[in-house]
Amino acid sequence: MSTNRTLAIVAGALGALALFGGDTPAPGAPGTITALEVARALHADPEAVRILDVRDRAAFDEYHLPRALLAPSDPNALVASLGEHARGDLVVIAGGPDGEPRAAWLALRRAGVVGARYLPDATAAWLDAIVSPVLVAGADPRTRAAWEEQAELSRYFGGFPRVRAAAERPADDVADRLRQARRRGCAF
Amino acid sequence: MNAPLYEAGAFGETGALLFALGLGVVFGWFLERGGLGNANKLAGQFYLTDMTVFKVMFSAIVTTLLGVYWLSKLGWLDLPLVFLPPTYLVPQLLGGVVFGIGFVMGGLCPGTSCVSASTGKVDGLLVVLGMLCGVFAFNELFPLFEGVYRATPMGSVTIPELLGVPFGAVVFAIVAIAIAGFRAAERIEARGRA
Repeated sequence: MSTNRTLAIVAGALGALALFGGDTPAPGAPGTITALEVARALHADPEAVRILDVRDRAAFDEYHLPRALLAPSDPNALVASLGEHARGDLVVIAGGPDGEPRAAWLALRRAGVVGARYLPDATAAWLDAIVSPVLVAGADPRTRAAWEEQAELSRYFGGFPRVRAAAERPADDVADRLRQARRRGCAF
Repeated sequence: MNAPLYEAGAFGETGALLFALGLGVVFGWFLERGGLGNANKLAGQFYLTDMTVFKVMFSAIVTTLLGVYWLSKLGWLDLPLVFLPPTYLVPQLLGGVVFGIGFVMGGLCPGTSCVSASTGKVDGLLVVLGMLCGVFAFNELFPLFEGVYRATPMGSVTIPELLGVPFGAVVFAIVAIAIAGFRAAERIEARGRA
């Protein structure tokens, strides 16, 4: 029997067995989670969500997501600190804009915490999406409908959703947005 | 040790780049030894006189598909950690058309043009040069294309998700199509030789 024929038979057999093997997890499932998805999960069942902030103490004290806990940034220490009972929860690693949250997420994945996700630049993402979400005036109906849900979540977390004119310059400094948020007396 | 190896912490950034370099050398060697650095052989695919490209590509697809599926089922590959490029329907269809025209005209695709150039073939060198010019021009003119480039996003979608069937069923179907395709390719080549 030729090599090609042998390989074709092996491939055919493995392919046929796959028909009974069923499904597998999809590739490319992103490790990231958006601030909006975190807000939805917290709104639905806050006890099932663990937010671990891997930034330093100063950054954490300046601002952190609701129900976030300061966690060690060292991936091994982070895994060790996560109790067995947390492995079934949604675990969100909140971090700065650098690669720390992803490194921590990979460590949790390797340790079997399949529900782990990471939110890069968590402060900016949360401020943008939840504390002060903005809809540009004149948006199409689908965008407006999605924003209505976002606005409702924002109000739930004490934010202030608003509609801005298309010509208005958006705020692009996190520190400015933090100051604005505090001035308005948001409850977080 | 689980795969993907980089995500599993088997090596760092430098190790990953060196590993990729080694894989690239091996890949190029096999392409060259398989004759895919020869523009006549590649262009023959489009005239149905030489089905080597079809057989090589489909062999690679079947090998990877079966490997990915069964390694994932055995728990050796954490499939969600494998990067999946997002699909943009219209721009990728358009890009495929442009790619096809260039492939037939040049007789080489981007990868095989590098293989051809590495063996000193002038046509390979020219295709590589043309490709680099095209990449440069695209980047310089990107604002003109940006609307089309970002049109019709579908996210990182797979065939099983699109069809709503289990991954195993898609594996079976593609393997069956491949085996039938190889038999048809052999017949086409035999008819051409007769």
